[in-house]
Amino acid sequence: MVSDLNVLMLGWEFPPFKSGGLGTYLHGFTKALSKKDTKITFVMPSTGVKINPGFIEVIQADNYSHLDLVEIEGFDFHPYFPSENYSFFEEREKQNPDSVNKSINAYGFDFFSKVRKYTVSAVRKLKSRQCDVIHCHDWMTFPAGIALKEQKKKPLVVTIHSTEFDRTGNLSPNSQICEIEGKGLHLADRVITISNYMKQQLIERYNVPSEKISVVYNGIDKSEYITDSTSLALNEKIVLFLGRLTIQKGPDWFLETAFQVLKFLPNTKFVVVGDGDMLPSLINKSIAMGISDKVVFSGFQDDVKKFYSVADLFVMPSVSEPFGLTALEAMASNTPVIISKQSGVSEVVNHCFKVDFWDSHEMANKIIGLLSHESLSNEMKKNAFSELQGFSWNTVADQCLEVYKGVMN
Amino acid sequence: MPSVCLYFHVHQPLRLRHYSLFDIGKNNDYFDDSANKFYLERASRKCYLPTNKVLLDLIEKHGEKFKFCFSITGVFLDQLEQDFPEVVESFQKLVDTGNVELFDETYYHSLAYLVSKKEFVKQVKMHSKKFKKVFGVKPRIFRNTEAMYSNEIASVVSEMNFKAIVAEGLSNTLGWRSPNFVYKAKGSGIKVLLRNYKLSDDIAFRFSSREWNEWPLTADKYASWLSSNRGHCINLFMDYETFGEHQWESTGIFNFLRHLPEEAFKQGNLEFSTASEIINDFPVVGEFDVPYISSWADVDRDLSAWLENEMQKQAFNEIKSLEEKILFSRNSKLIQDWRKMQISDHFYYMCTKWFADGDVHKYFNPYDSPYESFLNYANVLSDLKSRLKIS
Repeated sequence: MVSDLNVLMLGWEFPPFKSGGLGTYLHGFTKALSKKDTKITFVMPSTGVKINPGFIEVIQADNYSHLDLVEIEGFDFHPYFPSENYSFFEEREKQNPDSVNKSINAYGFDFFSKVRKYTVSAVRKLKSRQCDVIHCHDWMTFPAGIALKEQKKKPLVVTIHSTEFDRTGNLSPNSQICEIEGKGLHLADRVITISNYMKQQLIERYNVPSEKISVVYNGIDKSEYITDSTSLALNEKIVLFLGRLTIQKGPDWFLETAFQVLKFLPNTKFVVVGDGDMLPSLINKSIAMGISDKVVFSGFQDDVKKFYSVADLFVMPSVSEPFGLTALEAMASNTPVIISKQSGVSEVVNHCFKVDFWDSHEMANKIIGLLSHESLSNEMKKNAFSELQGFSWNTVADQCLEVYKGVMN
Repeated sequence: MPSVCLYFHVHQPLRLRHYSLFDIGKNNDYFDDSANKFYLERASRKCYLPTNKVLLDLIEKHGEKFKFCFSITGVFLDQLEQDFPEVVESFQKLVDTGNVELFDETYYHSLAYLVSKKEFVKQVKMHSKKFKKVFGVKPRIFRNTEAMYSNEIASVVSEMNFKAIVAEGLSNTLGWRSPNFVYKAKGSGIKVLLRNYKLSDDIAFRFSSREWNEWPLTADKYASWLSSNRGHCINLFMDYETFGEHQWESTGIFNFLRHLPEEAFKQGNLEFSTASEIINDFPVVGEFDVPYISSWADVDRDLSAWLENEMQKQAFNEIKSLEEKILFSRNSKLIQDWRKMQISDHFYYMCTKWFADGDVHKYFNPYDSPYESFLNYANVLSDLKSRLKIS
């Protein structure tokens, strides 16, 4: 009998405390991995909801009995919002007086001090923990991962879910973050990316040798989604956008497309779920275009499943999308999907439409096609749902285990 | 002494151009002329010209002992006449030898029979007329698009005075019986020539497959298989593009064809015959009863490659429903476009069975997905309808 594989997993979010796809990913992935003779210690910043005395806390949360959760006192820190405009968070902090953090200024001092704090406390807290392999998720955890690799003389695996270039829509990557990303990639024994699209970026932007990178596509648990499409009994069709309102996700392209579609199908509602620094400008834009009565900004939603199920169509117009888990979530909810070609998920799904994110005319052509021809949307969603068979967290866990075994030898 | 009947079907799809919602009402130029010309040039260079040359050489070498049959769609001939007249000439040269029998079919390689009997008859007559003009020949044998066949189709074809019709040698219909005989259709009694799909597909599909335990297939080996077959006739029916396009020259397919006749003659018990000779020389041995429509396509040998999923059915029902109004318009360009939209390939591209029957669909599909294909088609139909209102 082989003893359990001891994995030290470093992440930044975990449900219900999450801002996007990474939390969902880590939950599905660690759950599946824990069933494969592994012991997982999960390290993350404390969530800010439970204020605990002491610097570091270890919680064996009931819901997450499959892993040891190590929380490091936390901060209301959102690394996936790259923009300069953080007034949005300040608003939120006002509503949440528990939040300790006072000033988050773009990529200012505070931003990196959080990462430093995370690094220092993780290294100190985990000093006596045994492990066989260290697995980091995204740049915020890289300094800690590198230090722990040094301390324990154990192999380091890093998974890149998005790069600084993705998060900023390639416009203004922060050089310090790029440096941390690059360092982690080069010091890691093995790099996992969630698509070939991402792999190619790492080769081009960071000179990572191709043979050092393994591609492991995302998984999804179909059973968690609502498959019977609920109707809102409106005589309007609903087209859904769901994602952070940042340049990366292309919400402005969504509005351009909405404008085109409404010329032909005025009875259409465009629902935008998500928060982000672009929200004010998007609202202004919809007013300027004269379509503000047709666009609904719902803000951030904890329960996105309902939205997928009431939508007639899901659109993911990302400018640069390392994977695009939302596309799979929509497919799991029996909703037809249009995705941008600039996405990792477009490499692996067939039963959807794929359009260049900037081609709002073609996007409109396809939206109208799907909304006007029931036979088209029926066929697409039926086949897409079966296609999801190929995306299980179990497969993700198996492939990552292979990577662990590779670096341990 | 079994007679070998070689029959080649010649056709190229008429690909639609990318036709968006924003084109509707503004543009009724539906076809991608440059892509169609590109593929036609490639097919002419890789298949039609070199294969015609091999066949002509074989006729010169073996004289009247070597014969075979062709059918060529009307839309294909139109394209050739416009862009590559030298290819038409090379077909004419073959036909002029007298060793080649031509089969009729629908002008547009279409699903016309499913639109209406009237439309079907019309398209067959158009095709006959075209053959008369180009080759000076009136065919006696008929093959429907993709060998779609049923008792009813056979009966309509019989009424049009054809002497025989082509069908797939369906094993579920034949049961213990062999396809290597002449049958008659249930009802009309028209003679039926059944494709020997095992031996035909050995060339058309398996020839270059290294996973096949008979690879590599040589002319002498194949001739020995033919020779050991029982029955009166061995009907080897396949797409002409098998030579050079589906099976590339590098697979040795041309050498295979070049040596097949002499290897067949070496067997001592084989001869080549045209379809007309076969129905004259051999008696009818039984009845062929197909109450539903079958075809020679895919693994299912039915209509499912064209009319299975919701998109295909919707698209087809719409084109079908326009018949009366379109014909009533008497607008010849509109009628022609409507007929071109009946071409079976459009529906084939909408097929979602990819995963079940391999890459055949994907390889020949100009679209990224069946959904793209449907949407393009649906947009063109919307324009077609808008023209109807105006005219």
